[in-house]
Amino acid sequence: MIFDAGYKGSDVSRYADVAIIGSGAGGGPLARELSSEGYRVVVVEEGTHFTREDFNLDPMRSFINMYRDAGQTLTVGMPFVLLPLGKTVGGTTTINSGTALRILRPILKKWQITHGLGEITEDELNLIYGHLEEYLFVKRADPEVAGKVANTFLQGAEKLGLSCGWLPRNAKECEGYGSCVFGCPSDSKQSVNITFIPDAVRWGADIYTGCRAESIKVENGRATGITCRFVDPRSGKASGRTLDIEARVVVLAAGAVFSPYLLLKQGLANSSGQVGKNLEIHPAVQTVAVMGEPMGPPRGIPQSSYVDEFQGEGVMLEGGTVPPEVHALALPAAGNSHAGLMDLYPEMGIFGGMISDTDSWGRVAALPRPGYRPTMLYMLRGKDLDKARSATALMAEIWFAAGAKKVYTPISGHLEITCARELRELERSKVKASDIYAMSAYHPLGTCRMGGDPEWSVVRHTCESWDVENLFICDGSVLPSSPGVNPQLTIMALSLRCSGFIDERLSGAAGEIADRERDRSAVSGAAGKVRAGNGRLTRIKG
Amino acid sequence: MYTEIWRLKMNRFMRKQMMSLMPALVGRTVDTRDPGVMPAVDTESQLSFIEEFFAAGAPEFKLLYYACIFCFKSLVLLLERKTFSALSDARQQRLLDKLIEGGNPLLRGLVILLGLPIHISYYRREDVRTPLGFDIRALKEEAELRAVSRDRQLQPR
Repeated sequence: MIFDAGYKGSDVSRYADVAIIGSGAGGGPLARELSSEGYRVVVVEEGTHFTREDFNLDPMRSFINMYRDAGQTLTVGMPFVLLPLGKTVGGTTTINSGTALRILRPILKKWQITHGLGEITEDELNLIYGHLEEYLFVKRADPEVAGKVANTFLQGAEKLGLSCGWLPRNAKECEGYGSCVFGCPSDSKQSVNITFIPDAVRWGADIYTGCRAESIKVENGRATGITCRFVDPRSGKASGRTLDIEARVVVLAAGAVFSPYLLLKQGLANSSGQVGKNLEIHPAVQTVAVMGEPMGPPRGIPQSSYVDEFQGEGVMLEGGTVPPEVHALALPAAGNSHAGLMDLYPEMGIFGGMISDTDSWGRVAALPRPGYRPTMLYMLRGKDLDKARSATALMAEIWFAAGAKKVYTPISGHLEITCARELRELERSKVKASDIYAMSAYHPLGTCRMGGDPEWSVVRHTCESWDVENLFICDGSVLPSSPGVNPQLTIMALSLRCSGFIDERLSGAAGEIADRERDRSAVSGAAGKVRAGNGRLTRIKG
Repeated sequence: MYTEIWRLKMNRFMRKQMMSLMPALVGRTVDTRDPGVMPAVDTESQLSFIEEFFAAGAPEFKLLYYACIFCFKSLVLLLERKTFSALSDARQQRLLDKLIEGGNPLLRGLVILLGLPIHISYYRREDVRTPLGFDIRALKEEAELRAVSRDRQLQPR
């Protein structure tokens, strides 16, 4: 059952086979899989449980209720990057755009070769992806529903002969209310809060909302439970009541910002010194075009189309529409100039360019801050700056091909582009981080990375910590690098894969498996493989 | 003491400072009932939203914002030898454009950050967003008429 936030009773003590911290793309699938196996699963979630009745399409109400710090989560560095994070049952999947893409093949190859993750094979992942895609109703966005902005942008891309198309999304019968990132009002989007979590509850899992995990209990090198505190989900103030869970296995699935934060605060699982490091965020630039005809925003699918011509170089264009109060923030103007531009909102289109950051530097740190808040340090640099410029110029070129009158960019010196000459100047320019006035990012990854060597990774390929037995980390933090696309499906796939290992651990072969894993870590490329089939994750004994 | 500073509500001085910036940053100064013209800023209702927004957010954000107001006001005094409110509407606008379009990222960031909660608080108003084509009541009513049901289950493992 789901225990509502605002718990006023006495302290609670629980026993569970598996205690999961976080109910998003990592924790939700695990909760469902393991509870369906008959294990006692308890999930703790700091946010509140919202349903479609609560999703009233008001963007700011959503920011205040379902985003950490009302969406005011910024990285510290140059430039400042807005990095919104979900704080609700379903995690960020409840308030994401619902893009469901598989990892790029070259990146999986890189994981296998560079990060020592040969155990994660393409065949195995494809089986799990297929399984997930069926469960989550993944299909391409419907052009009829996507909205005029997305259609117009794709027409521009097609005119230029660029590779483009409609994004696969985990949405069923979507009618394009333009509100994916503020909570889907029709339950079309198959986010974790309406899929894995209700299934897990049906199988007997308990979800405590408004409950923050404060420490992981460790005895003799083994995780034995978690200590939590009930909090007010909005203010974060502790109520004074605690939840103490004794568990055979602990899963940390609080996301790539809060998972390392908890470990760093506790000084746990960090013999490699890699916890909190290697932060990648998929920084994004956006362009706004004035089309000179009604574009019908914000009706449509906020993120429905893509241009992947330069995906191999780390640039993926994805986008659609946003409501006026969010659109207003993307315009490089103030006062009357800003008001004049906002009057043109009905004739405007917005599109984003997502960058797979490879050269930038990022880190999650536990610096002194009020309340329970990590610090995200991030410097955009090197080739990633060129990617930001290229993505901006490419979007502008596509907009003009689609008939735009003007394009607004976030790059200083090129804030307004009205002709081909100005576009060429942008293409030739050398961009510094400080030249980009507004950037946002949506996919923090890599801060507890998975790998084949305990010297430079935090978890094994099974998602179990190298340092603490029975502690599994399963969220975006374990991805060793960006998957090149929106990561939710890959996080879910790794979560389902991980559930097989936890199942084995719990089903009695604990000592044997631990020994085998230790042997495997010592001998790189050992024979143990895991495969998925018919909804079951099965270990092929080496 | 340190932890309590940001819990304080916006004091009268800060409210006054923000009120003086709002019309200039939003650029809607003329109060009119003309259907084709956007309404003027409503400082009281917008300020109460901004207070709620700050209270729900990161405490440092609110402090950073106050620091930005102070820096901006000081900068205007230095550049113009007058307070921002004492400048004419046209002069205020020229100054804002100069700061945004100039090459200094700090000055541009200052104006962008000052505008952030003010723009949000203005464009979230129903009487503003509805004429722009974002009628959330109508969309919600339409969404309520249809609920998508899941009819698919994973086989138990």
